[in-house]
Amino acid sequence: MSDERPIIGLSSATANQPNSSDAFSFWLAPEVIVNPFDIVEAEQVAPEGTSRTFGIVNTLEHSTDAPTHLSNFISNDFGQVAGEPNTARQGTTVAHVAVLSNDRDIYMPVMNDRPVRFADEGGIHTALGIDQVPARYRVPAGLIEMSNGTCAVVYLDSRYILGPEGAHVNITGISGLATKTSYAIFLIQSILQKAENRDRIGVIILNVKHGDLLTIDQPPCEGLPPEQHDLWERLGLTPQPFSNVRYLLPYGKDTPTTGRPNSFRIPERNWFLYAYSLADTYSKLDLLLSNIPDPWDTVGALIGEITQGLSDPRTGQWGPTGKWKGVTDWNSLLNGEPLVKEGQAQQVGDVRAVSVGRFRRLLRRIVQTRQTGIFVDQRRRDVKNMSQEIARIRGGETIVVDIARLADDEQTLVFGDILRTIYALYAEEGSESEDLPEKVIIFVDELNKYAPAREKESPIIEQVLDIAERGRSLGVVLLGAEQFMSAVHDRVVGNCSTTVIGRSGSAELSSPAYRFLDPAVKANISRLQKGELVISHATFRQPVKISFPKPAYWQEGAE
Amino acid sequence: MQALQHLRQILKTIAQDVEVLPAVGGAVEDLERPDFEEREDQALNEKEKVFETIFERDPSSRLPPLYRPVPPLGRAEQHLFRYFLDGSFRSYFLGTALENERESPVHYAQIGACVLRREDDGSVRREILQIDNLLMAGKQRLSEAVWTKLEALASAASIRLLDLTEQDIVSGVLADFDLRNKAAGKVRFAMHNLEAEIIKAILPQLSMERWLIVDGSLLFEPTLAQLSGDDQLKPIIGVAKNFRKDPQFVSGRGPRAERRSIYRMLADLQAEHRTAAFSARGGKVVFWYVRLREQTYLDYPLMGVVKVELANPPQEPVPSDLLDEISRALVAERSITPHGQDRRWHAHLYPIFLAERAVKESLLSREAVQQFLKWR
Repeated sequence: MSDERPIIGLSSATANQPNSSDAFSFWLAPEVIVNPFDIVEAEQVAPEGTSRTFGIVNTLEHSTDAPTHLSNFISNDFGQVAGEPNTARQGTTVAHVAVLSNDRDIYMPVMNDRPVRFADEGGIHTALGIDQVPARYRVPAGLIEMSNGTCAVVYLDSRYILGPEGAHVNITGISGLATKTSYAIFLIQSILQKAENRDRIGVIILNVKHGDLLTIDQPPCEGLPPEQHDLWERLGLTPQPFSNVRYLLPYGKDTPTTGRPNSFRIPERNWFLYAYSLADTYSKLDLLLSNIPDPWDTVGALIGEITQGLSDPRTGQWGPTGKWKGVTDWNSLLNGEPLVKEGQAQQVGDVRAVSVGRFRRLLRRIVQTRQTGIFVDQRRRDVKNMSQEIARIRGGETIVVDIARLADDEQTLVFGDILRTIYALYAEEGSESEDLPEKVIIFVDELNKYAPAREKESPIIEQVLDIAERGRSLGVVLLGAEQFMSAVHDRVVGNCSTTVIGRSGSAELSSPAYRFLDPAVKANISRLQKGELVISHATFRQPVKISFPKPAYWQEGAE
Repeated sequence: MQALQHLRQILKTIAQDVEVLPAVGGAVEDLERPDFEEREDQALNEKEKVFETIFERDPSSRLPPLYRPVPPLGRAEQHLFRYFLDGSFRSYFLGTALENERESPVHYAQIGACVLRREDDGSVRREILQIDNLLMAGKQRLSEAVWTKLEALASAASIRLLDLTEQDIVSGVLADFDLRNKAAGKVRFAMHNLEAEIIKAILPQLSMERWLIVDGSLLFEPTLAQLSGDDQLKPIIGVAKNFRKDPQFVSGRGPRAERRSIYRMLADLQAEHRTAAFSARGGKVVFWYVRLREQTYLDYPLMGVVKVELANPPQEPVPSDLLDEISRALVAERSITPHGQDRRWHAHLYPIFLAERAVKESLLSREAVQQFLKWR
């Protein structure tokens, strides 16, 4: 079969640049065009006949027999730029290739002068180890498009996205408007269409910017262009918007008068308001104050006192008792006993009055002065409690939680609340409940806000780490995105079995978070175009470049 | 590599009949002596030192001037030189065979010659490449029995056996009693013979629009014989980077005649100019000099000058226009140069350099020969 494909060059091993088990080089025949990330195959020895060693092109170099640039200067009649030399300078382009695999598990270095060809689709799958993944575990992740026009669908192994072998996906880069989000949503759709037991997977999506994700159940106004349709179909997927979507939108300051949520856009259907009263929040104050430096744990200690005081000791639920009996809402907490008496902050437990005063100032600023309206004294019956809504998630359902217009502390509270609720459902109660989905995927952009690299610990970081480190076995999958992976906590990044990288600057790529990438791959990543991504998956031996179709739902600004 | 396997068998057999003083560590490569080309040029022209016949025919019928401008004529305008021939070799001293009072050095060499064809886009392709294996020893320094045995073994292995004691024009340059020193000349002689064979093979593909440049002199007898078969000029020139420095040239007639040394003549030769063509061997060959580059860029006035030879079977003065055209095309060959790769870059033509490299790349590596050819 391979003989029908043209030979594009011959492998080359020299005294200074020998081929090895991990890499080989080949020179290109004239007129052949090869680019980084192309997958090629070289003829390799085998006990009987030949085998094929697959590799991915990392770098290309053109060299000539001129030992110095001065030689070229002199060759052009001492610097004459006009005119063409009589004889073309001898030179060749050499491609350096990282070995991916051998179809007969032979990892001898590729010998000199062996024919090299572009791999075909089957070869690409062998190269990436996709042929070893049973069909039922294959999730389309994008399309490899090579310089010779060959295309191949890249499949991820669902056991390494959804568990139990590995989990979590991290998407990073400055690849362009909505590229990361579009890819995350594409991947979720691919999982929902192709993964095993897909009707037992629930999805929670946080909308953090504009109204990007508040229309995921609506088709594009003018439909998808035919080429995008083809792309979806080549991936074996159906271009369709999400179905069974529930939107949770934040209560705003104007909501009591207008009835409108505090969102950039209102979905056509199936949306609900959510808000936080003190009763909804008292056990999550640590999340709300996550961004407050607390080196001596005084805020943490006071939060513990408050949580304990506002809990019914018999049920563990909301039920202020004793000196906390008068606390019913945010106002009474901030201005009444036991935190305040006669206008003066009071010592609470071991927490001195001065620390209580600081706590009041911080909390007042968050829930009263600068709040967006999400904190209410009494939550109306038609306004939902976030954790109760999240706990109602079912298989096949997608919940979109809008936090785009919330303040940073409020966003942290909502995201932390979701994580804590899900973690509690799966880790503490166990997943015996028949109603619970087998797997839950949580997508959030700007992950660095919630698990920043520079901070070692905070309540929200701990929550994210719990999911990152134990979600694989629980069936809770974090799909995070951010501009700079270096800004995300290394334990979160380290637990992602799939990393997707869009165009990134060389300064960013030089950070330790990217040390798993070959320097040549880093250079190529810095040149990626908008919409191009490089994906590194647990079962792939090298990262590959992919493209993916445009979302099949109505996108703001896409029309 | 098969040649080496045969050769190893031959060495083993000789070692049974004669005592051998092996070269330390195996085969030792003979290094080419510097400026052999120049010494060869001298040997081939030994009888002529003063050249006083300007052997070209100016269209104006006047006496051709000593210097003529020849601005470059690039490939894009007229692609005159299409083929380029060069030979190369690698020679190894294997040891000394001792047979009673007799002794002879034993050498192994690979010689090769290559013709490159240049396409219209300036790229080159290999047209002909031939590699031969040589085994050399002194016939008169060994018994007839050993020599006969060597002949039979070499013949069976398709290896040419050469007698180092046999006189020839090239190895005669090295009038040295030590046969080991003559080996390099013997190898060059064999290489020139191979080049002559290849010229014969390529000749049908040449025309007055498709010329061949041969590296070095055309005065080597087998080569010159190829080019003098009939009364027609052959589209072949020899271009020498190094040439003898002792000839003198006479220009002008009567009392105005002026005698110049080659140094004087070439010092006054401007860039993109040629000298008048002089006759050699009674007009069978005409030769002239072309300055490819400005002297200001070079260390020495004789640098950047090539000697050009054209076989002239009619033995009539050659039209100046033809010599101008050849010279102009040659000046254009100055780009590209093998600067940094060959110390003679200033006068080296890049396609010739590539032809030499093509041969060298096809020869067995020193490492392979040195490890393979050991007296065991």
